[in-house]
Amino acid sequence: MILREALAENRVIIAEKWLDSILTSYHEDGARFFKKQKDRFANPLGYNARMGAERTVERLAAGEVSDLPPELVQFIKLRAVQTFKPSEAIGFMYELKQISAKVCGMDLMAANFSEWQAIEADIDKLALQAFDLFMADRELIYKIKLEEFKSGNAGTANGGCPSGAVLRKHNAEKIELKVIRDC
Amino acid sequence: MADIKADELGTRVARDPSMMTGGVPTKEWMDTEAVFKPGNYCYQGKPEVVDYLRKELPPGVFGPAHEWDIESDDWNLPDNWKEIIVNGLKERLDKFRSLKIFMDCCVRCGACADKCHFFLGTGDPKNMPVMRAELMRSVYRHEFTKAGKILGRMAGARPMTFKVLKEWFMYYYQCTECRRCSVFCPYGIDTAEITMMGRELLHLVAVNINWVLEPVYNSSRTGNHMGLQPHTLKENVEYLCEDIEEITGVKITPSWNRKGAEILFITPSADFFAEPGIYTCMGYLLLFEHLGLDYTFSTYASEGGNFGSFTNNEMMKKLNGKMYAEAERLGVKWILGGECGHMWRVVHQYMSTMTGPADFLEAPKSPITGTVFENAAATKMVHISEFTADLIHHGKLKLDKSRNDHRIVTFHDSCNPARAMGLLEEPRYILDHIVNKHYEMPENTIREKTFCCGSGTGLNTGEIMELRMRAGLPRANAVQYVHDKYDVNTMACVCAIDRATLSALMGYWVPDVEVCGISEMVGNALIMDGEKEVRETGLRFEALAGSEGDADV
Ligand code: SF4
Ligand code: SF4
Repeated sequence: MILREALAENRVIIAEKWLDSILTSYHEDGARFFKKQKDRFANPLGYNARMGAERTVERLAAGEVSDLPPELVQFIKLRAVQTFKPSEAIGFMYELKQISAKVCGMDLMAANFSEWQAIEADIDKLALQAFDLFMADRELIYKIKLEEFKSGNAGTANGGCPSGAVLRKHNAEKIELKVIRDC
Repeated sequence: MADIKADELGTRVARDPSMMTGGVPTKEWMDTEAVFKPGNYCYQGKPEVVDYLRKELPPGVFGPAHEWDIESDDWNLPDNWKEIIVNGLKERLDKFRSLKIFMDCCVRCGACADKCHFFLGTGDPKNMPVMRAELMRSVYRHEFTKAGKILGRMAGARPMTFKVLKEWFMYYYQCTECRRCSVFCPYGIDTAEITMMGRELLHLVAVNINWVLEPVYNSSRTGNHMGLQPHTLKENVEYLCEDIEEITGVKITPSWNRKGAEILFITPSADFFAEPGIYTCMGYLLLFEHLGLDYTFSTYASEGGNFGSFTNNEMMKKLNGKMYAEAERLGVKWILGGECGHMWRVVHQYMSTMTGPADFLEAPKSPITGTVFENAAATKMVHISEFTADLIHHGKLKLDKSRNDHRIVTFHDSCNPARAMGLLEEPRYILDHIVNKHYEMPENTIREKTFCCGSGTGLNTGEIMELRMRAGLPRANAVQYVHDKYDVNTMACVCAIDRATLSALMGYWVPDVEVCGISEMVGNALIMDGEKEVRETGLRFEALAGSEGDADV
């Protein structure tokens, strides 16, 4: 428990360094703002990144890694629609290893190596969850594209006059559903 | 919400005062190139569409149609394209005083820099409004100011090059002309208008996007974005009336192109064919039936939306003029307008200087309450929310708000009604009377400070879905908050683009929240003469609170 305690003790500084590292993936002007503005509605990216980092470190220190804090979930959702490669979008999760080790001290890690291995495994668990979320978000984007297309809103730039068909299909689907339910 | 001051915003936004006060901006940003990759740009206009529009408008407004590949480094531009752009800029500086002022008077205080949803979702400094303007201002300095001519880059000036053109195309199509930034600018600089000018200039050399142009082409030819022909429009609304009859037991037969009707009703065509707009349309139909209103739809003026305003002022004028030409032809007294965004911006902000007041119509007077809408004395066009709020105020509607008890609502101020016409209270007043539970999003995300859906000004196209989702983050983030805090499950709005784009945005960010026009909920709440004893579902066949319903949603 020595290392977990060290993580808990240093959680603020670990989260801070982790946040700084995450924000390097943005333009420095953007990063400066994301770090500075604390209003969660004026700066949702910065808020979710900061709170996500803080809460994740807290959970890691407590050994509670069965899920990610909601702020980090939202942040990953954003990463999934920013212009990152998947490895760039999620890679920051692994940085938590080096940052934790550095802040808590390499010697302490070495002296408690088996505990450190368990912590590393926990970070891997968190990172894999981030990867699952990222993939689910990507799937969701495709689904939303399809739904938007089906809703009729995509028709304006496709030429022709598909609206009648759209509505007829809409009504037909409704009838179909009713039939299914009535059976 | 404290403003981030310019010096905190860093080196790329100039820290010093502007040309006016002799300061110089720093300029590393000039070296960063715009790179187009699938997903970060909208598809280019189809040549046949551009060609048609070119013939429709005065010469030169749309450049010659051409095949071009956005990702390539050769856009197949006319040889003299730079000259065309620079001359175009000069012409507009002379014609629009506001542009000249906006080019000159920015002091780079930084107050606008962090107010744009595109910046908040990307961190890209060129999405700071001040920088978006700087993209054009730098060329303006080079061409039209002494300091810029002599000092060049030192004075933040640069010549028009292909690199600059690419940057303009990238960033003038990453601005939804929402005007949030202008609310915070001490000088009232409206970056939306700079974007409008940027797009106009790009059109001169036929650099454009199809998602804007094809609806314009359709509106110009057939009367609406989809190119729906009269019989289809009528048929679509008949389908809606069939649904209304099934849900409420009330049969409605609206009239079309009827000369001598008192009121011409115009709404965005998405209300006729796309979800969830069709439910809003059902709300209008129920309201008019409830009142016995003497109104008509038109198959010619069958589009309230004005994508022309996303191209150039000539096209905007033409599409706006169409509504009024139809009102004159039908001999109506005034126009009632549906839940639309930019239609209202054009009517309120640009029409009177563009085409002058609609003096051939009468000052709008509600035939039910006798209220004269003096705010619409020049335009003769009243917003459906103004009209409905007035009816409620005079006790003219029989409403059962419990029929919306399945909805816990938050109201999204659509950018244009909020910032371009100040429609802030009416929708909220209506909500007070048609739903039992509605909650405001945080103060810095509503009313004049509302956050854009992220997909306005013709950016509501599928090929840039990721861009739309990141630009919509600040809006979605505030919805998430009220969803978590108050169980909000419905986001109400008064804009057709919003109804479509927020549905996608919510689908991604807050999937438990549905998007709904205010008039849809009015329709749900209205107690109609001769209606079914028990209304089991809402207008989208969704179960009502406490009923098993016939829900298929
Ligand atoms: S708020 Fe106005 S004056 Fe200040 S930087 Fe922005 S545009 Fe310039
Ligand atoms: S008008 Fe809206 S989208 Fe455009 S720069 Fe201003 S805040 Fe951004």
